[in-house]
Amino acid sequence: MTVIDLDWMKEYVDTPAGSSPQKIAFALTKMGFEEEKLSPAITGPLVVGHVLECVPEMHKGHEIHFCKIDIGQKVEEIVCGAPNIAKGSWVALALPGAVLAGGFLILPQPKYGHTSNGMCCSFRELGWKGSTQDGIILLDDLGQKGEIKPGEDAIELLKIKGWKLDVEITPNRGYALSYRGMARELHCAWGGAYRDPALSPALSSLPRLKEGQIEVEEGMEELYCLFAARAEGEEISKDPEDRIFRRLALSDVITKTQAQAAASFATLEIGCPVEVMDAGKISFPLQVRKGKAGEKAKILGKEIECEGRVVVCQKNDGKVLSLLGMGTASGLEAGKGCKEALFLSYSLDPSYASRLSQSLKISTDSSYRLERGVDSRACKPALSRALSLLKGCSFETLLSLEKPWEERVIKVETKKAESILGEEIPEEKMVKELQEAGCEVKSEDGRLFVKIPSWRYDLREAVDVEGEIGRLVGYDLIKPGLPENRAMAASSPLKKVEQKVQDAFAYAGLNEVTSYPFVGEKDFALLEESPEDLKLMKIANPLYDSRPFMRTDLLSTLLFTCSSNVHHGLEGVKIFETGRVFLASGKSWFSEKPPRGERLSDEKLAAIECSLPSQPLHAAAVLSGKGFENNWQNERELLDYRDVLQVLNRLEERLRLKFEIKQPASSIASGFNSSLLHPGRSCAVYLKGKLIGIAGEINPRTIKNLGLFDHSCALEIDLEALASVPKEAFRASSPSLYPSVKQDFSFETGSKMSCGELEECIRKGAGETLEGLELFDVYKEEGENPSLTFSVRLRSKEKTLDSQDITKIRDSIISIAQAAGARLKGNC
Amino acid sequence: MNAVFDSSALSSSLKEGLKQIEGAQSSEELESVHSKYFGSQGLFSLASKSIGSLQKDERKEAGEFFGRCKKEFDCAFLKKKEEVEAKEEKEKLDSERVDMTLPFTRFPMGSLHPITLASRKIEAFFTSLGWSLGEGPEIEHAWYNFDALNFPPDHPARQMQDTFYMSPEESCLVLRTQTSSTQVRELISGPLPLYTASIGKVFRSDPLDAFHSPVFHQCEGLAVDEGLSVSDLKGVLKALCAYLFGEAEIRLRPSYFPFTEPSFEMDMLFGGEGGKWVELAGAGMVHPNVLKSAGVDPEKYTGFAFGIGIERVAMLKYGIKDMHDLVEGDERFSRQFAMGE
Repeated sequence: MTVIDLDWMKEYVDTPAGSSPQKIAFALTKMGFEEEKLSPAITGPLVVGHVLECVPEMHKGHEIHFCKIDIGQKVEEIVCGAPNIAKGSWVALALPGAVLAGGFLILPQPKYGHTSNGMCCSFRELGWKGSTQDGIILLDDLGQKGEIKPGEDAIELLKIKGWKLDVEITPNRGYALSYRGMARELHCAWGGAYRDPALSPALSSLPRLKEGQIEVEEGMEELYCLFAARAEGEEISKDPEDRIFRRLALSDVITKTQAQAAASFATLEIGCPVEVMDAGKISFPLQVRKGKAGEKAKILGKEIECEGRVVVCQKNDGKVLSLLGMGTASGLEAGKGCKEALFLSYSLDPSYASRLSQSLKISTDSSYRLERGVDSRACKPALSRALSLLKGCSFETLLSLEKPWEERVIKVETKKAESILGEEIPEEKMVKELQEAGCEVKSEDGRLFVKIPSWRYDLREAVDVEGEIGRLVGYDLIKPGLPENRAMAASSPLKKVEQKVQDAFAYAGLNEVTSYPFVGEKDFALLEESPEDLKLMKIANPLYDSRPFMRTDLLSTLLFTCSSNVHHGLEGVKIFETGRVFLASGKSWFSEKPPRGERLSDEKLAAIECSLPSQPLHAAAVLSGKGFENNWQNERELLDYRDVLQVLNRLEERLRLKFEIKQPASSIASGFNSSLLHPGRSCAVYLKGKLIGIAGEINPRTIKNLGLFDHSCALEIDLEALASVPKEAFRASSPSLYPSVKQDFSFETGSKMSCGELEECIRKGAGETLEGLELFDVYKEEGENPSLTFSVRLRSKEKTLDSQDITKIRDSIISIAQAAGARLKGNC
Repeated sequence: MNAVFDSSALSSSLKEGLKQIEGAQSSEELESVHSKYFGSQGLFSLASKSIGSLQKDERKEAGEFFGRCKKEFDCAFLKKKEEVEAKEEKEKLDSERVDMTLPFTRFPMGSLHPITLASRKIEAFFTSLGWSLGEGPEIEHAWYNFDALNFPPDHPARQMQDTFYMSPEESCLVLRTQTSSTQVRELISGPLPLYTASIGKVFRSDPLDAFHSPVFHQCEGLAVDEGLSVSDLKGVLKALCAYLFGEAEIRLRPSYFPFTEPSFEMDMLFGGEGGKWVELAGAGMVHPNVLKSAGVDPEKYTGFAFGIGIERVAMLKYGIKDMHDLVEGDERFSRQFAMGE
């Protein structure tokens, strides 16, 4: 139960004078039942309407009325099926937006060739009266006397104000899925007198037992209790009694017969599942046993295998009437015409109920209650309550099976409770609060012996009771402190690297975005990837069937983010992301189910680690389209490989590192997919000989598939690899004041030699005296290797470089470059 | 032959020179006037030289006369020079005028995502308290995600968080549903006492809507030490909220998580008095069974833990109304956070 009719709850607990619905909601929230929504039981607009025209029409043998109804400001067209409406009638009209009993929302609806802009209400639709046959509410007397006007608020007029509260109930508090439980919580919050309906003397006994009607198989540990009774009489199939109907309707439950209403009422009031079925369709005697192979039951329209599950069935033919924990089989509803009814009230082992619900993937009201724990000791009064609502019927009890209740007494040290809460709490206050929650408490030498009530499945150990004391006393009383940290903080190198990379990208003009790490076959096709080459991890229950895999590289998802930005009409996209990629390890699984509360051995922990996929943290960037705003002075329009290299430079500067660029980007290395890149315009990025990433222009076919701009470029870096390379501590140095010397070198590169490699030769040759290195000319004649001319600025930190020093450095540069395959064309 | 000093000629040269100075329109013209009179063959230069040829008694008078004339010339020249240069400078600057409203080419500064900004803020808070920052895997073993966190088998609590399971089933791998899965890892690997926070992605199989996303971020805080209490937990959460949002009123609302007892939701009063309570974190005292799973003696140590939704913090802090904005990767949204808040 999540919807509470506040008036119904107040039948079991006294509330202080002037306690508003808002105060009740607030009090329950503080007890741990979060208010989801507090709303009037009936939400308007519900107004007085005066029928100006009423034209009867026949549709398939059914008479309706097409009416024009004055609601003050305007006249609405309404289709009404009630026989008692006529021209001149005064009605209660629910307009679009109104929410009636049972959560029924009124909207404009096409009906019989018209659009009906509302509904003329009966008392039943307002949760007030049990019969539709009475027709709609007529306010003719008041209207004719001029005491009401069209458009007037009918909620106020009919005095049908009430409040309902939607609350969230956490899975440990199954006991609160009832008015009995929720009223007790309000009693704990405010202390007003509480009347437990399950302890009502009127419900303490069941009718006379008729033996031999239901047999129960031995050894069903799952079944905590089962009570069954048969009722016979006219009342069973009558429309629900007004008071009961109203109570249920305002708790969002609609029933058709008094028998159904009685079962639902008892369930909501006391919290135990009460099922009802048409006993006229049942052949007695019955059996309660485990389902046999091949036995099935149709529940909620689904065929369910019953083998090994607790069922109630006919002894003669084995027909399953109820699968306990799920509900009654279809076709046995105690509907109209039912003269005798079989009621069942029961409780099951919550673990069994939970497994049943999970394995069938079906959740019913019964399963929801049972898996959260149903109070076995309240099942008898619940059945008794249902029977009590069937006036004039004859009853007989068919089964009264109840396992002995194992009492739990938990010992709690009051000092321990205080130390956990961090607040001094008088022992007598602890005792009083626990007693109000239904516990029996004995105190002795600073210890409490707490007898746990049968409905509190959540209180199992001392720690639970200590927490409960805090909840009952109120956490508001606990003053905030701040612990003294006695541990030493250790910074995470990976976190530091991630932050620096994010900063470098942002300073380089890139904008950070996020993408989901899910990919699928369609994505692989667009990216021109072969899934067989990827170490894919698959999700068993993906949210999107089209994307059941985890990405193995970041670009696989970031490229789609870029594509969607381009499709939004952006002419230039520069984005980056950091996130994990997932690479199947292919190692063995760890499938053991160790007991709770036990540390696993180191071997087992290692086995768990082995079973995890590799999931390194990566950073990736994609640049596509225009890179510059207002590019009217600049020749270059589109971002290309130079821009992604520029981003890499920013990264080098931010990290104070020097990457090595090698062409081409190697084929797929773990976590990088170089096939996404242009083979001639991409490179692998190394740091101290370790591969840390790839960069370059995106493969033109991928560009076309994703609708990106030509020359779009990207990079991806493995941040864990980056962080793992040891880095020397930074030390600042004073600038040299000795004069500098400038030398120019012109080399013809070898056929396989890159500019970067030649640059590296010059760096090596110049050693520590190198202060600046600038490429200032590239000359290439057709059919020849390019000539590159560098300006080299040299400066020593120790002395003025003389001609001997300069010759030595120059010779060193030339010899290293020539050894690498370059040819000197000039030096000055 | 030396020229003869002629004072009347000098006088008329001065008169002529002053006239020419006055008539000069540019620095160039002015300089040529100056050269005409003071160049090697200039009248003033020649007159100066001719003084030397005079008799001694005449030299003084001629020298004084020459000096007066030169001074008068120089004064006029310098005055005119200043005037002409000012004029010329003005003309030059006027000619260099540009339309400052013309747009210029720019490579704009990029931005950090609001989730990164909120995460960094939270990390900065915990670092300032001396807490360590931890990490944990996103594809996690069910033992760390459920069993070690005291989730009873078959309990509906396991369905509280709609879990993504990895294939095959026997792998027992899940996409972690909460960062609490790092708790036992930290406790097993770290020495006690332990004060640590870790921020990371978590996954729930909820479809994306305005308030939920199947992939979102949490910050897990964990402190395990001797004598920690709910009061300590409350203090840390209150300080964190004050750090993030200014002076903050918080409340601990009872809740349920299998890995903590007692468990809370932490709400913050947003918008001051008469404002709205907004749920910001799940929290609680670490359940003894979780401590036992990590081999920690619950009789000696107690601990508290909490998980804060980073998306919620970012939404409140930056006035973001719709989760779609945070997860859809629209660059226009991110650009608003150019290198900061």
